[in-house]
Amino acid sequence: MSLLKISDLHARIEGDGREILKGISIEINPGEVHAIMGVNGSGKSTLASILGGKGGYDVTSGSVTFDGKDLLEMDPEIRAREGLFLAFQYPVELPGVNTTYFLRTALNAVREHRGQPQISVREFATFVKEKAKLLELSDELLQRAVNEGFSGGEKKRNEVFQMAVLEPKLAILDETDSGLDIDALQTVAQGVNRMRSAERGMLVITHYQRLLNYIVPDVVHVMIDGRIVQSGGKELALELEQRGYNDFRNEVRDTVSA
Amino acid sequence: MSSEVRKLTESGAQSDWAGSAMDEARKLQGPQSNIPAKVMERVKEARSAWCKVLFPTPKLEAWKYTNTDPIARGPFVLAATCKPSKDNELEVAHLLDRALIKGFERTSQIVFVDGVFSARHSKLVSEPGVAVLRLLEGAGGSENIGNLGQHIQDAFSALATALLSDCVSISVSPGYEAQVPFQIVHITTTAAVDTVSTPRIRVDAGDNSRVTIVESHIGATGIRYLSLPIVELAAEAGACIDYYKIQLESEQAFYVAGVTAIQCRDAHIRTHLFSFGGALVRNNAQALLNGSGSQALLNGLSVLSGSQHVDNATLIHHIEPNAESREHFKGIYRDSSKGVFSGTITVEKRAQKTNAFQSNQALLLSPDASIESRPQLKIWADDVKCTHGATVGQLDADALFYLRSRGIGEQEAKAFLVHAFAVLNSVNAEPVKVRIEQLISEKLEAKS
Repeated sequence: MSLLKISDLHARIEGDGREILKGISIEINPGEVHAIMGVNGSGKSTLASILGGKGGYDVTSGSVTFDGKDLLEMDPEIRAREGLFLAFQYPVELPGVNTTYFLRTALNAVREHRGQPQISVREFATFVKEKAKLLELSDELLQRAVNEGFSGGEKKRNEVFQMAVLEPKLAILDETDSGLDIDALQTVAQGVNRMRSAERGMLVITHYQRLLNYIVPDVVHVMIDGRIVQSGGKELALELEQRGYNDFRNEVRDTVSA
Repeated sequence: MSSEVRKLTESGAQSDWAGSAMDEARKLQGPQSNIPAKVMERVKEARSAWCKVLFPTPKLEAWKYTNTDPIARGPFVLAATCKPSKDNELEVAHLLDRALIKGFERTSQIVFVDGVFSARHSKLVSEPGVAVLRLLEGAGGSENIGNLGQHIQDAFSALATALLSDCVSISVSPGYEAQVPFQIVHITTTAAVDTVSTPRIRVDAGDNSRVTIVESHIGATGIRYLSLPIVELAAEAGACIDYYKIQLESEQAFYVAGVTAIQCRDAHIRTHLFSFGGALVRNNAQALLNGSGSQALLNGLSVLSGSQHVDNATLIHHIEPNAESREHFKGIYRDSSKGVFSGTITVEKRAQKTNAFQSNQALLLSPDASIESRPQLKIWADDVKCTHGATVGQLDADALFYLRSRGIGEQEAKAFLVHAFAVLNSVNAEPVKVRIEQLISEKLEAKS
């Protein structure tokens, strides 16, 4: 059974007639890493938001099943507890919310949902230290308020760190590479690669091929104007980089008008 | 606040419960009471001041957003003279238990029941540099009670002083750092009639001394009464007073409090006013920076629900140069509750090199909740740094989604954000911090 099955998904922004997603279909199996590539405004972040359960969108038709269940019926917290993780393009700063406390609460909510016992403060401290090391996050950052005053790179590393802590079945990385220098990009990619496993699926959303040099996908989808115009192997990313999005867009135009 | 003067002729028909209560108060204040002569003079001044001003109307700028008509209508009977003393023991025990903050290693406990000091509920830890006096007993208390002049400037201070029923004064000797914090609890119990009480605390911290005071106000659930508490804090040169007030009055209660903090040279008074209870609440809080190098911190947090109304009217008065004041008031408003913040900063001409910071932040959790925020700067000196700012907002939808996307349930996620908003980093006393967190949770979880 597939882990995530998006079937002919149509969606628009609430209160706005304009359709943003115009029939997206993607199927991710356990162990697979899929990449969605597209320019700004192609709808890829909208897709990530809808999968994560963010309000403000109307799904007009189509369906999404996650591990056999109707994903769109679930509240965002239930999606997370069921094993979906969304790494944000713009992680939110939460002044006054301690990172460690926040993460332990999140992990315990997930564990409770899975019928696992609560993790104690001490166990969690050890566990979290290990994970933080993977992402080269300092203890000091873990004692601070969530993302408050973090640099762009620290915020993105913190996203992948949270993913490592929550150990999801499916991770959606929404432009995790944006705003990262090459060193930070490598650290983040390394963190993500360590999370790859035969059970876990990933959906990597990016504008640039660069990230995919480090996180090598099994399947690449090119998204233009709310549609997947082409899907293929990792070589598709390179082809896209060489030909440019415009070339693909023209191709779509031809297909649509034909 | 002298602008609150109102001519008798405008007052119209008011119930004269205040006059009757004053007659009752005179019985307590008689020669047998041992009230120091200087304090009695101030009580008399307050009586005549009250007769001139009476209850403020919303026409007065300082009372524009807070209508005191329900208080003026009353009627209220002076609690100190109308209550039998011992048949409310269970109720007192219950309220005391709720109000006392746990987690302090030791505290000196001072309890007032219905505006009068209760020896049998109080437990004082004796310290060599600390003297505690009760007004209606023995030596009669400090001569300083009322010497900061509020009783002739502000209507409710005048009324509270005219109705003076009891006071505890705490003085700390020069150079002495009190080891044991004071926990002062004011309890209003159920009675056959609605009562008015005027509990009063005076703190004098000698040169370079230090003391921590935690004061709580609590009343039996569902009862209607008027509480007019006064606290006067005076810090001599280099002294430091940490003062916390936690207001947990009944949801039917009226509460108008006076808080005056005066700091001499290099002294530092840190005041925190927490408002959780009451139907109609007003804090008249003043910090007087009366010495070079003095520092005043005046912070507050209101967490309201239902139709509660809490008005914080503050005055930071820079009298001497080189002083610093920090003021930060926050409010969290549920249901149709209402907050008012009027923060005045006055900088006298001689108070050069003043640093004054003020901020007011409101979190509205319901479309029916509201806040009026009015900063006012009156600056006569030319070399000062004064900043103020106010923000009003709702819970941030992106922050809420972020928390939920990590598996945290909606209610818990909201609580996370509200608690995060409520944090006042200036609270030094850990047990107070913990208790405030609990009280916020209770208030948020309570059904509207």
